Parts: sequence; C-alpha cells; structure tokens
Amino acid sequence: MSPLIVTNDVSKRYQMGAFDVNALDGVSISIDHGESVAIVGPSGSGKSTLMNVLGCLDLPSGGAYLLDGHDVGRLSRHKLATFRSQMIGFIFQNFSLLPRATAFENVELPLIYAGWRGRERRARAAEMLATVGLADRGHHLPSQLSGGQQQRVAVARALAARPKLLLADEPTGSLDSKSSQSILALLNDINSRGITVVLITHDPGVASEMSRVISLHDGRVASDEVKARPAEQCAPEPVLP
Amino acid sequence: MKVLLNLREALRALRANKLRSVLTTLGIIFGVSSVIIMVAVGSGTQRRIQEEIESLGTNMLQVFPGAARSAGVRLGAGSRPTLTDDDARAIANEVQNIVAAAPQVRGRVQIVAGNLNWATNVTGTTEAFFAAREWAISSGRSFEAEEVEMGRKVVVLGATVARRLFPDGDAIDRTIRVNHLTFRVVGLLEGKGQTIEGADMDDTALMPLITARNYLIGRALGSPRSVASVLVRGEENSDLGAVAGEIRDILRQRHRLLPEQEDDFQIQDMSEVMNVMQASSNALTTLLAAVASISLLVGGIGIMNIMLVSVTERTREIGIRSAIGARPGDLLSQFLVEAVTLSLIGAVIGVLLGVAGASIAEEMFSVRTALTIEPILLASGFAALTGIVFGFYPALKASRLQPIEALRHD
Ligand SMILES: Nc1ncnc2c1ncn2[C@@H]1O[C@H](COP(=O)(O)OP(=O)(O)OP(=O)(O)O)[C@@H](O)[C@H]1O
Ligand SMILES: [Mg+2]
Repeated sequence: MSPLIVTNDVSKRYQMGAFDVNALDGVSISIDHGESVAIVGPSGSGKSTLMNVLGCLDLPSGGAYLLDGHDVGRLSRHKLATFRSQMIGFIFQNFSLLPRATAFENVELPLIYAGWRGRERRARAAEMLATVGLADRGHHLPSQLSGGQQQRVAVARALAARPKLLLADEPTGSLDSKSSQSILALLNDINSRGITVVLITHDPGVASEMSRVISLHDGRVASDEVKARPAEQCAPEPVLP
Repeated sequence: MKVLLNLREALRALRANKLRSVLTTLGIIFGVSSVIIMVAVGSGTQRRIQEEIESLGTNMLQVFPGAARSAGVRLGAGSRPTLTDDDARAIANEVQNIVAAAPQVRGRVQIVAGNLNWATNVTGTTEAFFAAREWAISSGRSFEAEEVEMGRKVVVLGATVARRLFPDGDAIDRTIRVNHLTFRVVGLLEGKGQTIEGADMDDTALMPLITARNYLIGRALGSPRSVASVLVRGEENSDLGAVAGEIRDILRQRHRLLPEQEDDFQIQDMSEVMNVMQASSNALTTLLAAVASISLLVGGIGIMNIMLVSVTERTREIGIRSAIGARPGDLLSQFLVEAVTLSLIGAVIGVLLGVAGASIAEEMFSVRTALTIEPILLASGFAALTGIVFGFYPALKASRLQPIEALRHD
C-alpha cells in the first residue's frame, strides 16, 4: 500500500515586504498508514505551516503534496473541503470549539458536513463523547467545561467522521500534566486502532510516546527518527468504533 | 434536512445578539407592516367604491342643469335653473330603453318626532325614484301617484332617520313635524350603508316633489318648476350612450337650443364616475405600496450590513468550520439561511403588526380596510427575497474565506 502522506520538496514562502520568509524550505517526508509522528523543532521552524499543508488548510507554494495518492495542489476548494471532511481530523492547541454550541453539537458538526443523517449522526456523536469519557457532558457549553474536558471534546470531534489522519497542533500545550496524560493516552489508543496520528509538540515527553519523531529547523527536516515499534503491528484501515 | 440544521445554527447566532437582530429586522418589520396596511386601506376603499357602484347600479345616468354662460364667463353646473319636472316627465315618456326617470329637489331640514329631533337631507321626488335608484322599501309603502300629483304631506324615511326618531322601531303611520307642519310616515327605506366619502346614505328622507317645493324648499324665482337633477335608469344591458343621446336630443329640443348653442344641461354616467374613482384609488394604492416597499429595501440593506459585520466577527468560527469539513457551499447556505431567517422573522412580526395596524386604523379612524392574503404573501415573499438578495454577498464572502486565513483571525 502506498504511503498516506508524501511530500515532495514542499516549500512555503511568505512575502514579508521586501524579502521572503521560507517557512518551509524543501520538505520531503513520507508517512505510512498507522504511524504516529511527532513533529518537533524550535519556535518558528515551520511546524504549524507544515501541519496546515498536511491538513489541506493551506497549499504549498512549491513542490507536491500527495495525500492518499491524490495530488492536493490540483484539487478545487470544494474538493479540498470534502477531503478534509472525509480524511482528516484536526485538534488545535486552543481547543477551537464553537463557543455557542454544546459539546454534543460540536462533535456533531463534522458529521453534518460529512453528510451523516439524523439518528445515525446523533448516535455517533454520543458514542464519540462516551469514548472520551464525557457522555454526561453533552449539553454543556465549552465555557462550562474544564480545559482538559474541552480538549477531549475536540478529540471526539476530530475523530467523529472516521478520519484516516489525525493532525494535532500542540494538543497538550495549554493543559496541565494530568490532562495532558489523558489526552496522550487517547491519542495512543486512537493510533493503536490504525489511525495515523501526526502531532506537533514542544514536550520531549510527548514526543517520546510517538513511534517517529521528525525535527524541523528553519523550514527543513533536521532529523527523522523511527523508533523500534514495527509498522506491521498497525492495521492499515481505521477500525475505531 | 440541511436547511433545518442551518436554521438551528441561524437561530443560535441570532439569539446570541438578540437586540442587534431585532434592530436589524426593524426595517423589514416596518416595510412589511406598512405594505399590508396601505394595501388594506386601499382595497377597503376600492371595495366601498365597488359597493357604491353596485348600490347605484351600473346603468344609471344623472342629468344636471347645465353650466350657463354669463357674458362669456362659465358659471358652475346648475347655475341656471334649466331643468324642470316637465323635462323629467318628457324623458320618462319619450326615451326608449329606460326603466324610470325621477326628478329630484333637495333641502336640509330639522325633523321633530315627539321629543326627538334630527337634522337630515330631504329629497323631493316622484314614485319613479324607487325604481330609478333601485332602492327598495323595507316596510310600509312608497308614494302613490295621487300623493305625488297633489303634493300630500307624506314621507318615506331612510333607515338612519327612522332609527333616530323612532327608536322603538315602529314608524309607519306615525307623524313627524317639519317647520311646524305635520307629515305622515308611509314607508321606510332599506339600509344602504355609507358612500365612499363616508356619508351615511340612510340619513335621508323622501317626499313628493311638489310637497317639498310647497312646504320646505321653496321655488326658484323665475323658474318655479326647476329641479336639481333627474335620475335615469336604463334597462338592463341597454346602451347607456344611446340613452344619453336620446335624452340630449329631447332636452335640446325642449330648451329650443340652436345648433351652435351649447347644451344647458349635463348628463353624467354614474358608473363612469365610479370607474374613474376606482382607477385613481387603484393608482394611489399602488403608489402607497411602492413607497412602503422602499422601506423593505432599506431593511434589506440593514440586513446586508449586519451580515457583513457578522461574517467578520465570526471569521474564526468560519475557519474552524472549514477545518472540520465545511465546504464553501455549506458556509454559503449557512449565512444565507441566517439572513433569510432574519428577514422572515421581520416579516412575521411585520404581518402581525400590519394586521393589527389595519384593524386599529379601521377602529380609530373609521377607515374602511380589507385584509386579503395576497399583500401578506407578497410582502412576506418580498421580505424573504430581500434576505436572499442582500444576504448573498455576505454569505459569499464567508464562503470565499481561505480556511487558513480565517483560522489565524482572532
Ligand atoms: N501568514 C504568515 N505570514 C508571514 N509569515 C508567516 C506566516 N505564517 C508563518 N509565518 C512565518 O513562517 C515561519 C514558520 O512559522 P510557523 O507558525 O510554522 O512556526 P512554528 O514552528 O509553528 O512555531 P511555534 O512553535 O512558535 O508555533 C515563521 O518564521 C513565521 O514568522
Ligand atoms: Mg506553531
């Protein structure tokens, strides 16, 4: 099976007045189905930029990005959105829940965009909330939840539409160590069920939990270490409920 | 399905800014309600004209004494008493295809019955009046030929006069006094309601022409037999133009007018007068509705304004939605539904206000109104259309946002 993610000399340039900023400068990586990858690097090294490109939120200014065999640069906005809806789940550092929607409705939202209908959709949303241990908090607004709980809702939302790829930009960045641990455990569990996890982190402890660590520096790959965990262990397709 | 979910989102967003939402819909509210009130008043007036046409009958002519010339200066109609009851009789006898022709004289009198009194208009006429005016007797009888001939002191009262003077209801064969003279009530007219101008048609009394002349109104000097007008009713489906032509020939001949002389009388087709009134009231209604719909337009601009603000405010939300799979079309429909919801809420409130306003206008200012479903549907539909048209640009703007730009927004 071909890799889930292939970037071929991907670059991202920002025009800043007179000179250019090369946020990404020739990144070529390949990530297989079922891997768990930590992206590390100093601030400003291009981690978030890479994640946005991988998540089809942003297009590279040079090079090619193939997601599941599709050349992302050639897709229309509509196709890109459909791709995000079917393939990718996002978790952001600052939770990014819709503040006026309840936890349940937040989890329901990606299902609506993915075209899930009525009872099936509500059942799935409830199931996902239960998976992250918040079955009894469905009707709470984000402001009525703790930071850790909010991030768990975000995880439930990211996984609701059965993505193949979970992208997380510093998912534990604004959590205490206990909440961080529970989120990390969730992510590991998700990965063990075959979903590819790519997360950005500053925390060496978090990075060490992943099977592979890619380190960026000034928009380039500085190192790429695969740990002992054999890839055959991972199921190729998501089998999460 | 998606629409329902969009509606849920829209209501949530609008509820988050209740006051702002209400203020935004004010334009639509006033627009819709004023369209409804204007059209209600307009069609109320038209309905009244319609009823008056029906009450007059469509085949009625009225002959007035003509505008005479005095040293080249045109005086108003009736300025020279040129029409007499003999003219009326000639018309009745000689013109083909008419049902009746009734001469009329008019005056204002104070009627006393017992300890009650009432000021009203009295019309002196003949027994032909009832057929000419198609006005039936509700109780008692009309004048007999002998009473008209001899100028007997008998009256037929309009419904309002009868009610004022004889509240107990029994007026037939009772007497009334006018100018210390005693008249016998022989009949009552059927109720007819109001004219377009709001005058009560039932506030009237009829008596024989000669009676009115002899006792109440007096005679014009030099023309003792003059009348104020002659009512002529043509037969059903008769050619009123031909009837008018015949009347004209007879009167010109009787008045010995030379070919170069102008008519010294005027012939009016009552239904034509009404049609003109109807047309002008139609035009007025349209104009009022047009003015009212401008405020709908202004309301639409208000919606566009607030939707633009809303899209900017919620840029980050749009980014999050994009990240979790919203397609441009999803965002477009979300914001479009929100704009239309806003305008439809305005329309619903506007309809309620409009219906209430129309009945208040009817109660307080005694304006006749007629509420029909068409202006309500039309105004609501127009409001919804306003929402779509003016909501489209902000919604398009939302759908065109680059996900990454939107996510970076704070
Ligand atoms: N929209 C933008 N316009 C201009 N420059 C940008 C933009 N986004 C990112 N950059 C630049 O690209 C480089 C990489 O930024 P990026 O956000 O990817 O860093 P990062 O590795 O995520 O940093 P951090 O750990 O602080 O989040 C930085 O130098 C940044 O200034
Ligand atoms: Mg970053």
